[in-house]
Amino acid sequence: MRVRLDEFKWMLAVSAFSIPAVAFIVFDFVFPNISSPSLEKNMLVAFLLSVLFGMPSGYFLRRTDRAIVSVLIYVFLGYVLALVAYSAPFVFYDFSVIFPGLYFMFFLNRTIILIMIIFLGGMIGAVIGQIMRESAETEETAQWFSKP
Amino acid sequence: MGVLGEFKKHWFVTLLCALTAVIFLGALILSSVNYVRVVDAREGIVLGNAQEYADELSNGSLRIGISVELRNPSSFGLAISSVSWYVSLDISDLGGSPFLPLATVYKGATESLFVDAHDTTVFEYYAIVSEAVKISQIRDFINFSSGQGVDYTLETAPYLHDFRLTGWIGDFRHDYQYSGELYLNDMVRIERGYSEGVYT
Repeated sequence: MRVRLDEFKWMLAVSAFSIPAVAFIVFDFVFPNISSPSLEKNMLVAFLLSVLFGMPSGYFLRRTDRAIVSVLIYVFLGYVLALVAYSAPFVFYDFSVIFPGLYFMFFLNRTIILIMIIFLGGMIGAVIGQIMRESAETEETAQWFSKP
Repeated sequence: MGVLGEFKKHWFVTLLCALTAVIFLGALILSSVNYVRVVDAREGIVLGNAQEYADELSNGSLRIGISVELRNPSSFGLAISSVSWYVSLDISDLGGSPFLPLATVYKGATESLFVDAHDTTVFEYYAIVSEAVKISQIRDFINFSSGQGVDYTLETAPYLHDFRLTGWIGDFRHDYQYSGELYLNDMVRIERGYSEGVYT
């Protein structure tokens, strides 16, 4: 797949809609008692939300391969943003690490299944988004031709 | 059509997506700030200014006590789940049991102790040791130490105070049972102690 720079920017722009949601869901999964509001580690709700946040990729990007790459981008960047939030007390403030051993592995261990679920949900959401776009366009065209 | 043009064309969907992104970004920032404040509270809540005392009463009994400050500079209140204070005297030199227990105080969660945010609370406990057997053992220790060249009285004997306090920061949930989730309880749990001049 060849991607031009403007197409890449377009994928990034569409991904930006879903990055905060992925970051929040991942962070909330690690600290459900501190985050607010919380999904309380409910995997089904996380999956349904991830389907919802995959929809912009499918809606705005017509090609399925680009939509899936866009899902990959926002899952990756969302995960990085969640890691930044997880490290906030130690990066932005001078606090000592609470769980010094295996600092990143601790985070990865707890979120690896979740991130796969989010990616799966994102792909399903992208397909649903494309179907919605096609449906909307079909209806738009029908209404256009039915005008007196 | 450029990126902006496409977004303008589908302005309603774009607006919905942007609003959702902003809401979740806000939730993430709020949660991160909460996380920082909890870590801040974990490091900021300390015991201090511990004062131990022992007085000989006119009837020959011993009044022994402790006063410890709990400083909570954080923005969360602290629900105290347990406070324990134990005083003993090291009498291992006399032979027999190594420690002579003198007093014990335990306060559980049912006491509803609470330390407000940005507040300092003083925990003060005392006990009166009036059992003749215990007073006699303390005097035996004092006499023994005197023979070793160290002069003690009932008031200056080296009593060992052990003060422990546990509590929960704020009203965050802390009843996780599954072993993989116990770190969540530890995250909002404070455990402080004072023993032999050392704060932990």
